[in-house]
Amino acid sequence: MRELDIAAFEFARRRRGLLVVCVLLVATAGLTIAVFPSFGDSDIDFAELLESYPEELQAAFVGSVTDISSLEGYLVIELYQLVWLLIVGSYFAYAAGSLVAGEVDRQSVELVLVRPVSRTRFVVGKFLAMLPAVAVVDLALLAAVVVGAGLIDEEIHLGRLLAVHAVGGLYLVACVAVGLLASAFFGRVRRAQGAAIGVVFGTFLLDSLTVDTDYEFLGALSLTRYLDPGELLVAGDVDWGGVAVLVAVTCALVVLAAEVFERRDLS
Amino acid sequence: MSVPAIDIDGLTKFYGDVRGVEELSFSVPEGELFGFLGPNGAGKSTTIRLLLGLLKPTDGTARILGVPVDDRAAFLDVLARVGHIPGDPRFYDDVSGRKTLDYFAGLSGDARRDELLDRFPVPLDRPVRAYSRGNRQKLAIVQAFMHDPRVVVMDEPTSGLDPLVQQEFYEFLREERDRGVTVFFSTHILGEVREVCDRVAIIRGGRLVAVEDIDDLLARSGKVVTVQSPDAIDLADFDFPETIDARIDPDGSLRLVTSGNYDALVDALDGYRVDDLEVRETAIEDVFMHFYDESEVEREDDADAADVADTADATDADADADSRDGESDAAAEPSPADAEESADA
Repeated sequence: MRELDIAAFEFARRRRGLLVVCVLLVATAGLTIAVFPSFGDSDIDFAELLESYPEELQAAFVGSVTDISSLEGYLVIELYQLVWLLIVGSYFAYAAGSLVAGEVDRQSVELVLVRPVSRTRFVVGKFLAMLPAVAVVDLALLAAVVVGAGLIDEEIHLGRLLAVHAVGGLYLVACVAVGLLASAFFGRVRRAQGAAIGVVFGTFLLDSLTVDTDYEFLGALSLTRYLDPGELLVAGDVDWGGVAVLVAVTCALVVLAAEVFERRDLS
Repeated sequence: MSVPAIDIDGLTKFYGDVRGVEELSFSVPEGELFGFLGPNGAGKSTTIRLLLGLLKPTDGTARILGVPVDDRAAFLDVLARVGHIPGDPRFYDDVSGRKTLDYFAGLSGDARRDELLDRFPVPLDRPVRAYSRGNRQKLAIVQAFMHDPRVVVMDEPTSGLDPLVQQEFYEFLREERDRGVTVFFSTHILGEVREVCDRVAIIRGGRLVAVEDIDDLLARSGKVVTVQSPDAIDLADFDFPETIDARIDPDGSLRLVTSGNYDALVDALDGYRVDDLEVRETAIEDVFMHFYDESEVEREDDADAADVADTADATDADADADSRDGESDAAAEPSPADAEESADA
C-alpha cells in the first residue's frame, strides 16, 4: 500500500505544525470556557443582545442558538461557529493546499513520481495523511472542552458533544479536500493555499450573508451549510442529509484532484 | 537485444509557441552508457521529463523497455526498474538522509542501499537541509540505484560532485554498464561524455543534431590551441591535415582546432614569437561550431542555439533551473588539469 507510505511520511512531516495548532486551539478553548461562569453572574440579557445583532452576523457567528446561558449554547457561539468552522476549517484548507503543490513547487515530486507510484495514489496518499491530522485536532478540542467543563463544574451533554466533533471532523476533512484540489491544480504552493483558503472563507461569508435573502441558495456552495453546531450541541439533532453531502463532496473533490493531477505537466 | 532500453520516436513538446524539443528520435540498447549532450536550455531536461512521464508530449512517443510512457498502468511496472536523478535533486529539507531513503525504499525497494552508501557516504542522520550540494548529489545517486534498476536516467548527475567523487561515480557507471544496466545521462560537458559514454546524442535548440559513437566523435573533435603573438599570423602556416578549423580571433590571436600532429604545430610556431600558448579540451561549443555549421542555414541555427543557451530559462520553458546555470558555467570552463593533459599529448 504505497498510499499509506506516502501518507505516513507526509503526516510525520506535519507533526510539529499540528502540535502548534492543537496548543493554540486548546488554549482558546480553555480561555473561552474559563470566562463562562462570569457570564452567568452578570445582569446582561444575552438573549436580547443576540437578537439585536444584524441577521447576517447572527448567521455567521451565532448560528441557530438562542440560549447563550447554557454552556452548550455559549460554546457554539464562542467556539464552534467561529473558531471551529471558520478558522480551523480555513487552516485545514490552507494546510492541504501545500500537499501536492508543495512537492511540485519544490520539485521533490520528481523523486517520487519516477517510482511505481501513480499520480492518483500519490494524491490519495496525501489526502490520507490529513485524516489523522484532523482526528488529532478534533480530539484535542474535544478533550479540552470536556476537561474545561469539568473544571468549572458545568454539565455538558457528552453524546451531543461527540456528535458535534464527529460531524465537525467530516467538515474539516471536506475542507482538506478543497485544499487538495487546489493543490493538485496549481503548481505553486502560495497560489494553491490562497485559492483554498479563499474558497472556504469566501463561501462561509456567502452562506452567512445570503441568509434570508433571495440569494440564500448561493449559501448551498458553502460547506458550512451542511452542518449546524447549534442544532447538534443544543438540540442534539443530526442532519444526516448534511452529513451525506459532506462525505459525497469530499469524495468528489478527491477524485477530481487525482484526475486533474493525472493530466498535468509537472515541471 | 530485441527491445531497446530507451526508445524515443518523434518526441515533440511545445509550451504554447515555445519549442521545448521537436521531433527527437533515437534509441538506446540495453547495457549501453549513453550520453545526452547539449548546452543549457537545449531541451535535455524536457526530454528526460517526457521520457519519465512527468511531462506529456505534444507529439511522438517515448518507450522504456518497450513500454510507451502513456500506457499508464504498464509504465508504472516499468518504473519499478528505472532509477532517476533529477537535474537539481530536491529532497525534504527537514527530513534526515536516512528517513528520506527509508521513504523511497518503501516505494520502490532498497536491496543495494548499504553497498551504495559505503561507496557514496553521506551524513545519514542529519537533515537534508544541512547537506552540501555534493552530499545532496550523493544521496541522489544512492536513491537512484538502491533498488537495482535496469535503466537509469540522470540529468547532469555529476554537477556538484567534487572531482574525486566524480571519478568514483564514472567508475561506478562503467561497472553498472558491465552488469547490463542501461545508463542514460545528460550533460553539457564534452569531457564527461568522452570519459564514460559509449555513444552520445547531441541536442541543440530542442532538435537532435547527431547521434554518434564516442570514438567517431573524438576523432572529429580534437583540441583547441590558442596562440598569442605580436606577429601577424598566417593561417596557411597551420593548414595541416589534422587541422579541423583555424581562424584569427579579433584580438589577432590564432585559434586552431586540431586532432593531433603537435610536432607540425610546434614547427610552425617556430617562425613566430609566442607570448602565450594554450591547449585545451574541445568544449561543446567548439563541437557545435566546427562540426555542425556545414551550411549558412546551420550557421544561423548556431546563433539561435547560442541565444537559447544564454537565456535558457527565458526562451525555454524547459527551465534548467536558475541555480544550476551558474554551476554549469563554471564546470564548462576548461580546467588546468585538462590543459596539462593536452600538452602532454
